[in-house]
Amino acid sequence: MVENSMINVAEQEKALEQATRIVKSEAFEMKRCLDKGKTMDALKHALLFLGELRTGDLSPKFYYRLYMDSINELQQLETVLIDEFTQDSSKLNNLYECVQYAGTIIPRLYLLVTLGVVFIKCGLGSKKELLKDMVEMCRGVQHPLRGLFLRNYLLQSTRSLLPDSPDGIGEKSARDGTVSDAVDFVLINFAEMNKLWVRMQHQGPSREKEKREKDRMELRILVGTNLVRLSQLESLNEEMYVRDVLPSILEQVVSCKDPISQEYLMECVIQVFSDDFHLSTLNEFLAACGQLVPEVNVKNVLIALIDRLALYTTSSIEGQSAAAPSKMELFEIFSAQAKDLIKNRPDMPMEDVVSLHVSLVSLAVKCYSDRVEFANMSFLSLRNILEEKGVESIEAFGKVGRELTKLLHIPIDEYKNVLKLSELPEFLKVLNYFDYRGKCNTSSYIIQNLLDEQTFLKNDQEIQAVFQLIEALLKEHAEADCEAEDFAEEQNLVARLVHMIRADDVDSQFLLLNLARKMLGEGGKSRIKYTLPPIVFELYRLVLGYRDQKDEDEKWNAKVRKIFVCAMGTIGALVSTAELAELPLKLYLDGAMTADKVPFDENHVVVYEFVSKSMSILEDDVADSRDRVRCLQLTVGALLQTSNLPEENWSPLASQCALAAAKMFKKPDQVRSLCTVANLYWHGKTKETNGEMLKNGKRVVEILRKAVKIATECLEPVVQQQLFIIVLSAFTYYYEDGCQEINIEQIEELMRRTQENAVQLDVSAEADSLERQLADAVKRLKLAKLEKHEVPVTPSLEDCEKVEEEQA
Amino acid sequence: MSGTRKKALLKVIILGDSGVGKTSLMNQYVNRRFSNQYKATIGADFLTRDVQIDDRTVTLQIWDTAGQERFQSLGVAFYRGADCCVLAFDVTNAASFKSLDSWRDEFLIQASPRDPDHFPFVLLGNKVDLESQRAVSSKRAQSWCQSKGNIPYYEVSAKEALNVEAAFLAIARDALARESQESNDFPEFPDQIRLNPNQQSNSSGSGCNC
Repeated sequence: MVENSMINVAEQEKALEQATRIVKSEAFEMKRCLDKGKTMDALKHALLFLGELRTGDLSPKFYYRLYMDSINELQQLETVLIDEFTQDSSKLNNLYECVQYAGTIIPRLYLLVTLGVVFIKCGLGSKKELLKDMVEMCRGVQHPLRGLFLRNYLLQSTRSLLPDSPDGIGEKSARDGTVSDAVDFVLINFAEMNKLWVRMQHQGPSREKEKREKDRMELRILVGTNLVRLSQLESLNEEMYVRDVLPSILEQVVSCKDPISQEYLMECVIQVFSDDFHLSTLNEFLAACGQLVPEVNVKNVLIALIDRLALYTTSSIEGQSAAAPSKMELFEIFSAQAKDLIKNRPDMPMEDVVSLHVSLVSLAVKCYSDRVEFANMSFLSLRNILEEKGVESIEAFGKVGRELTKLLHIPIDEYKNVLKLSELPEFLKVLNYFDYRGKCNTSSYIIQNLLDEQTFLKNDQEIQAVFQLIEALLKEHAEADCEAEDFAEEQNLVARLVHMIRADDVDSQFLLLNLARKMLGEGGKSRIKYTLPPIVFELYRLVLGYRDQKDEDEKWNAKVRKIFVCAMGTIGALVSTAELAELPLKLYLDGAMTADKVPFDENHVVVYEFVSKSMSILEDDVADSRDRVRCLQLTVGALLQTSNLPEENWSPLASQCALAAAKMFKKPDQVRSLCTVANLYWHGKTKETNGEMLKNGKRVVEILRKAVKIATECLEPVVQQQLFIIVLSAFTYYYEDGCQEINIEQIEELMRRTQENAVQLDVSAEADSLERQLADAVKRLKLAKLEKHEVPVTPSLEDCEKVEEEQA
Repeated sequence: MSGTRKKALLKVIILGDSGVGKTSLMNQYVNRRFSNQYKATIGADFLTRDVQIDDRTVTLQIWDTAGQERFQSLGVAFYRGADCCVLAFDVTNAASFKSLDSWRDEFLIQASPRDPDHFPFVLLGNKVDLESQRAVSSKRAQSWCQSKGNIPYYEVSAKEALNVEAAFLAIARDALARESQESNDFPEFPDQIRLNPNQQSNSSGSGCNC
């Protein structure tokens, strides 16, 4: 079948090519004759190329191309003829007579139409009569395809000539006609074209029915152009439309009893005429819909009409003519129509039922923004149908599901405020007909809209309402695939939602966060790892809010403490339920740093508690050695950020860090971690130091020595060398920073060992790099010595190089 | 007979998304009328207007087309033989601007002019009377035009007849200049298909034997 049509296309291309070639060459000759003033000869050539339009070999699309080329040429002819005969029209009648004698009808009629147009444009004869003649003579062609194109040519070339002045008496209108004559002309042409088009269906063998239908679908715009032409008449007023034009069209449509024609022409009427006209004829139009043959998908017609009028803005509906229904009636009329339609067509597929409601809801939401109950009514009516038909679950990506998605998106998109959805109680009930995936998709869409529109949740009703809409994302579900990408994306959306909770004051905000925490906490281990951290962050943010107004609230101390307790419990759930380690560890450390910044009573208790909790996680729950190193670094970093811990609390935490460093599983990790921890004893601040650094040189040296000792135990030369350089740098750093307990001999001893090591390393890129690092360390040490003993100003790198050269 | 005396007929195609105002632009230019009522265009249809360029009268045949594909069931054969293609978008509708590339590509593919890189296009940004709702800046439109080989750009309003006349005049000029360069955009006569070899050149044939 496919192969057949391929061959067919190739054949058609060939036939078209042949025909166009003749059109081109004859048209060329025609133009040459015109240039020489041999008009009669030119017409003969025109007849020759127009003869190609008699072909029966081409399908509509190919014929259209041939037609287009031919009328491009005719247009050239017309232009020249008008030019020539505007001054002297005497010879025009002669030409007309001659063409009459042309042997074949198709070329003759094309030329006669062209000449008719030239007559009118040259101001000869009665326009009214000429138009009438032309539309009548086209009856001579009864072959559907050729007739349709000929009449399309007539319609196209007379476009700007149609009389378009209001009806009235006068010399001019008697000769040229009025808009009524134009309407008659087009309506006759329309009726004839529609008949040709419908007749096509019944010609030829029945096995080619499908092909014929396809051909007819392609040709439909030719028929529709008649309606376009009517809609372009400026003087065609509403009264004429209501009285004459629409009834004639509808009569033609209904009486032809052809489903393709009926469905297309009804939609065409909707598209080409103005809204005012539709509003004045709603009942007539809808009545005609009821008379269409059963094969017509009336739902499409109705949807087209509703969608068109839904675009019509509220303001323009007011103040229409008396015939137009009031705004309220409009929705009711369409609801009733939709209901009747669904009732009368029990076989209507469910996706059509839903898509009909898409249009109704769209009309309700767009045109009646102040009447939320209209939209709710449409949702209700759909739910009743779903219930009646025993629908249980609608597949997200099925035919019905896609329509349902469209339906649910309308109020979300239009209201731009998902909180308003709670005014549509039926929305949720319809949403719940979706399968799990469908519910999740819609929930995500709701959150996305809320984020895009910056819709804040300001009280517990609002939180409850939104959480109810997105319930599918919040609760455990057998179908949920927690490993899927979708799942992570959706839960991240829920997490972002938390940040939209925004009460008017801090106390209410705390209550709202508690509520959200409780509801999100029910999501189970795979969800809370996404949804609880934002709660914790919001709590910390709230603490800062309390700090800012501490002078106005005498209970602020207690309140802040309560928030930390709440945060601690929330983080605790991440440890116990979600079985996470690093994430809660970080959240504890964040809490500790926040608490240290906020001067509530005994804030150090919270700092201690939070840091120690993070250290227990490090002890008990972080197994991977690289993770342990990183977590210890984070802990040390956080401790360095605090400055309000009393010495008695600070000490155990610091020693715990040192212990943890020494207990690392791999020796190199021990060395590196010890160097990290040494920081604590130098840069750390406690309550007692009053903002100054501890600078406990004794402990620093102890720790670094321990690091050297462990480094020495590493047997791998390259690794040992790396560690030596690290420790060496650390020593140099503290020496530079004025650590009295470090003496230069100690460092130089280590330096020598390192330099000796370097010589023994095998040649490798790594060894090269270590070589460079060592050179840098040496340079740095020299610089430090220089600074300590001689020069008070900081020496530049060049000075240092000079020293080096001198020594060399 | 001299060819220059002949009245030139130039075919201009207006393309762009549904609702950008193609029909309104043509109506404003040809009939000097504007209506706020939206009526969809079905298929393709033309109007003509004579315009004087220097000492020549040129007939512009302006093809208004349906922006919605479903209203082009017969295909786009009307692109054939175009002398200029006018791309239109709505300055208050960013999506209509984004579609310009596909309209241009579609035209070049379907009409397949001989020299696609130099085929004359003109860009019209319509509805500039709705300045407060503007979604596409003039700069953005201009830089698009630049990227397509310096297409001329006009900001117009069919409603207020702003710049419409000037834009179409420029369009006519462009298309005419192109025609007089005698660079034929659409191959017309491959030699091998001459039906009558005697008529190879105009000067040799003293008479027409048809």
